[in-house]
Amino acid sequence: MPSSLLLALLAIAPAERLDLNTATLEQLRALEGITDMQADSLYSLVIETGGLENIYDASLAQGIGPAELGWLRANCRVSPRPEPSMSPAVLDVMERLAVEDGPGDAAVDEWENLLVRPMPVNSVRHWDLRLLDRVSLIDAAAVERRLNELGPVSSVTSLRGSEGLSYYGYRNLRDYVAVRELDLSSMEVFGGLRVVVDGGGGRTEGDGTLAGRLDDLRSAIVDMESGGRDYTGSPVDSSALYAQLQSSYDELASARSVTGSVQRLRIGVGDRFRGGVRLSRGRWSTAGHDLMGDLDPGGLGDTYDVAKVFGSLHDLGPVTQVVLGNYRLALGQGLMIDNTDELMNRTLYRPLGLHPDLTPTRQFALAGGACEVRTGPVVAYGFLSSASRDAILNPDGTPNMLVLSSWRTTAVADALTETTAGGYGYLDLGGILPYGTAVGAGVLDVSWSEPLVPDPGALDIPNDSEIWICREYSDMPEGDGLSVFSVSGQTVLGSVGIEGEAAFQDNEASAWLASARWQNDWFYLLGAARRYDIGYTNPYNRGFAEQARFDDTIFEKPYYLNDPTMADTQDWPTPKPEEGLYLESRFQVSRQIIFPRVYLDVWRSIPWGFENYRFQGEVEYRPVFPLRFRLKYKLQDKKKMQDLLSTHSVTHEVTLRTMVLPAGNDMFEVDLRAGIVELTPNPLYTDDRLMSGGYLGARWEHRFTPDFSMIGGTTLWTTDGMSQWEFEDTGIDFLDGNGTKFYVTLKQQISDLIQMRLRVLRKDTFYPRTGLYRPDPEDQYYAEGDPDNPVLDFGDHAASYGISCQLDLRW
Amino acid sequence: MGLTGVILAAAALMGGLPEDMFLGTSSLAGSARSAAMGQCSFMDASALGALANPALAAGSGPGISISASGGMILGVEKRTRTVYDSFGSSIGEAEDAFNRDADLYPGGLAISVSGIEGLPEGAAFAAGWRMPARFSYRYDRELRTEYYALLGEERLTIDGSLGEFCASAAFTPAGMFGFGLGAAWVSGTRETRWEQNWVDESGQDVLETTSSDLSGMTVRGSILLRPAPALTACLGAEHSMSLEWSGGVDGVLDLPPAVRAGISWLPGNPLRTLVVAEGYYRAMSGAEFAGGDMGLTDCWGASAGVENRMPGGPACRFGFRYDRSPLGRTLDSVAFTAGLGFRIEGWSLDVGGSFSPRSWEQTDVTGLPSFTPGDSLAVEETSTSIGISLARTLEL
Repeated sequence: MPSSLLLALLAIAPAERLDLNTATLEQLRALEGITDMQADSLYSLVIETGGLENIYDASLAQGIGPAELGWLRANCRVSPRPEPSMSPAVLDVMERLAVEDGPGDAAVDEWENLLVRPMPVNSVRHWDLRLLDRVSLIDAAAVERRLNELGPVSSVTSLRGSEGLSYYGYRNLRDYVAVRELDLSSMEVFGGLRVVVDGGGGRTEGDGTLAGRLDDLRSAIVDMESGGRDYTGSPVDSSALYAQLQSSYDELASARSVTGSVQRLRIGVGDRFRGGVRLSRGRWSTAGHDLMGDLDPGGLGDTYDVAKVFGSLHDLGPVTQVVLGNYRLALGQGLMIDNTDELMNRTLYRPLGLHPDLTPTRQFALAGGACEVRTGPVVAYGFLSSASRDAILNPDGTPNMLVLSSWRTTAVADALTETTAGGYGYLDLGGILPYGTAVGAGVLDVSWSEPLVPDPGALDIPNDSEIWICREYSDMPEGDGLSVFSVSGQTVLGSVGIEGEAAFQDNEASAWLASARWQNDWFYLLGAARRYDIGYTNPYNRGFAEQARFDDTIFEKPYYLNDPTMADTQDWPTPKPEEGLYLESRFQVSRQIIFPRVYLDVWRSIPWGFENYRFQGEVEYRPVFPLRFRLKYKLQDKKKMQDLLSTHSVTHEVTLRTMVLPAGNDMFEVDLRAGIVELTPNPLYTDDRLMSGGYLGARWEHRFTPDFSMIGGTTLWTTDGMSQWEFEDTGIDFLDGNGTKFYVTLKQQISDLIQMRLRVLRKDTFYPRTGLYRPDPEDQYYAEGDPDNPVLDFGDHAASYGISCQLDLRW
Repeated sequence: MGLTGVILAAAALMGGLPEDMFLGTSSLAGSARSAAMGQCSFMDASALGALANPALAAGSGPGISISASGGMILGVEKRTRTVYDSFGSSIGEAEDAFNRDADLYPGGLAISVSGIEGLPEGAAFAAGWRMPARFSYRYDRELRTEYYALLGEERLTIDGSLGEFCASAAFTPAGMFGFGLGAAWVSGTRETRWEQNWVDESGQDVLETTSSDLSGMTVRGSILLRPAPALTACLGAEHSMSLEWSGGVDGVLDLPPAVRAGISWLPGNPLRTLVVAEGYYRAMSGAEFAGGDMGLTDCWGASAGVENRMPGGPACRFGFRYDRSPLGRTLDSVAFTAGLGFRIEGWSLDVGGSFSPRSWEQTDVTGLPSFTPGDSLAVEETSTSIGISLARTLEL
């Protein structure tokens, strides 16, 4: 028999056997070697498992014994199971991104899109790679140089040896690039839907919470009712203020226990189109306040407080991107524009460029149109936006200052309309000068529908003992707009990258930042110098900073403000006027010893001339692979203005983290932290010279299978005036008093298209009480609404719970 | 009748707690398996589930399936007043009452028949009894003077339950499509007792009690679609014909129909994962008692659950539930659920539990009657339930 015929028969023979993975129930029931009941069981097994891996898996079906298995082996076959549409590595990255949904992570959507449709690596420029997390200018320029000098790569791993590309940078970009060509005619649809129900994170107590803000409001109301304020000679109408306080209290009280929700839909068509919608409402959030204006369909404004939408087109000739709707723009060092509502302390990283925006940001959301153009060596951006902004109002109804509210009330919501326009252009000198070299210039123009009239008289309680001194406020913008001109430059010299930006506001104030980074596979050294004038009030400035503009000011003290909700001003996310020098390094001494991050920041507060420094050093020791110890020490020496005198604080904090990787991909971590703050004795509070605090936390992640895992964590803490911040798996928690908490998170990759995260948390806080016995009737504790009824006993225990669920669907 | 009497008369219908206002607190009327999976009882493929979703009557077959469930609910409630110093700043909470109430209850017992000789092709039937709701609340506090001297005690108890005898029939003319109809005879009792006893004998003790009987009919209909072997979808409606109250308060409670929809999906993986998700909507704004508008708003809920069969171990389940309250956003609730399932000698033994915390201000709930006049306390409550169910299918 000719061999070709034999091969043909061999090829045909298996095909004649019934494929158990694709057989219908009727086909299985027709098999002679098994009963109908066994066929039913086998059919269920195939459906439930997604298909048998091999013929022996059939024995897992109920009733299939050795005899039946033997018969199936002889008469049936099993075809390979279909490959998942996404690789496990990509799903791992998506799982990590799934917990990041904050303004600081505005590029998460973009990263997810890139995981599905990666950048064509052979046509990337360093501008594209700067979007990615932890990819430095040196890394990005190294890739561009490699491609220009040595030609296209046949696989992404070929980039690994690129001169100047650190392993760290390579690792952070490899998932987002691929060897492929742009396919602008492709109509392949992909996207994702995220649904989150946020029943809270168990964070209901203490400052910065809704309960705290209601307490502030109530205190102000009681103060006014008891005649504790004298508005003689003040522009403030005390009865109008009282009504506003009551209204704000009622409004915020109605937000108690409100469950948060997010619905976020993203869609992409090939390499050409992207679109998305976000509707969300924060936990304990007030209603939407005229969301979408006259177009508010079906009471959306009562249900959501953020509504965003965008559509974008890509690669239209020289126009590489056009976004209509909401967008995020981050350029240069963020001095001219970076429209997040979060100031990231001590970091120079930002996802550069133009991106669609579906983040929760509202006050700094840009809504309109923006485009990116690339032609030859020119990379340019243009943008135009018109959106409402919140502002504190003066007694005469004019806006006093813009405000970023944690809980918006109608007293500040949508007080004016802001029109934002501008452009920026870079001249890429790569090829003539070293790759990564560019100079840029641009302008930003911000105008408001009503002029801002900063007036401390509207904020400060008149005739009280506190004297209003807030230099950061005195220079806040006034009038109906401002404009900013910016120049920037960057270059890469070998393994050193240098970047800088200078911005000039139309009131002659300026800001500048320059940084240099030297890196290799084991080491980097980063240095940055900055200065922000007190008059540089550009609301979109997100330059590197140690402190936000209103840190350590009167806005941290709601009881000194006419309306305590004005204390929201302390969250205004522009840097404090300061100048300073920052040094940061990472150094891998050996496989066992690493200094993951060591930094020193020395800065001077310009309004007050205070000089401060902060040092943090971390060393990690890994004696064997599954065990790591990380020791962190923080030292901060800081001064702040307190009433008429400055106070001085010195903070020491030590954290020891132990990380163990037992078998089976489990992970176990224990954190032990202790801190102490030494304060200048205050004549008013002489007993508070030393504060201390610390916690012990443990976290264990167990992977039942690669697709299903559980994280359990617990923390015990004690504080004596020094509150603690702890990183959990999905956020940062504020720890006050003494207490315990535990949480459980279940994560499941239900299929390669669906992920589910479910979290439950309980937190118990105990507040030590002193001075319960108060014989003076003027100084007794009393119950709400019943000041004549002193309370002799009360609890010191607060229990709070959080349950949340997140579902991600992708296609 | 004094003020408290008037309030109590209203409370006789509505009780002291929001859930006890009309049909009581939901209990584990389905299987413990569904309780562990976000309380997705509409997509519960068991004999008990077929009572709520008739189209699923064949879901646990073929053969004769029996299923029984029961459980316990632990309710903990803390009522506090915020304590302020002379500057009007809060310094803590004064505990006004701390109530705990643990209740054992039967969930239900049901039998379903499908795919056996003698039955028409594609037909399935289910019948049984289940307890969809219960009335159970204990409130107890001591009344003291400002100097902490005991004045007396105040106590409220609400007891009772709502049960229903149900029958369902389903017909599946084709593998991809089926439908079912069901009816239930609803009956129950609700008793309230409120008392105040004073230490000073000159004070007038108060004792008010009511006892009501409830009866009515409910009809249900649902359709089942199976577009793919791994995917099942159901859509159903439930209408309470009328629920008559007699005894303490007389009147007819008219509840608008509820619409339910759900899916179950086998994504196909080594854990043999089962995903269920469902939701309901009821236009409660149309609810009336004795011809009067009850002042409620439309409500809805959504839930989802996952079951994994751990290799060599039990089935591991978890889920999540969100319910929008017809009384106000502050009473919306979320619940975390989890459970395990074992197969022992042909029997299915399932254990499931849920945990749901909630905090609300009594003044934030419009129209909520209080058994203490002027009571405007903050309420923190947790509800923890655990249920167990036993099921077996006899393949004839």
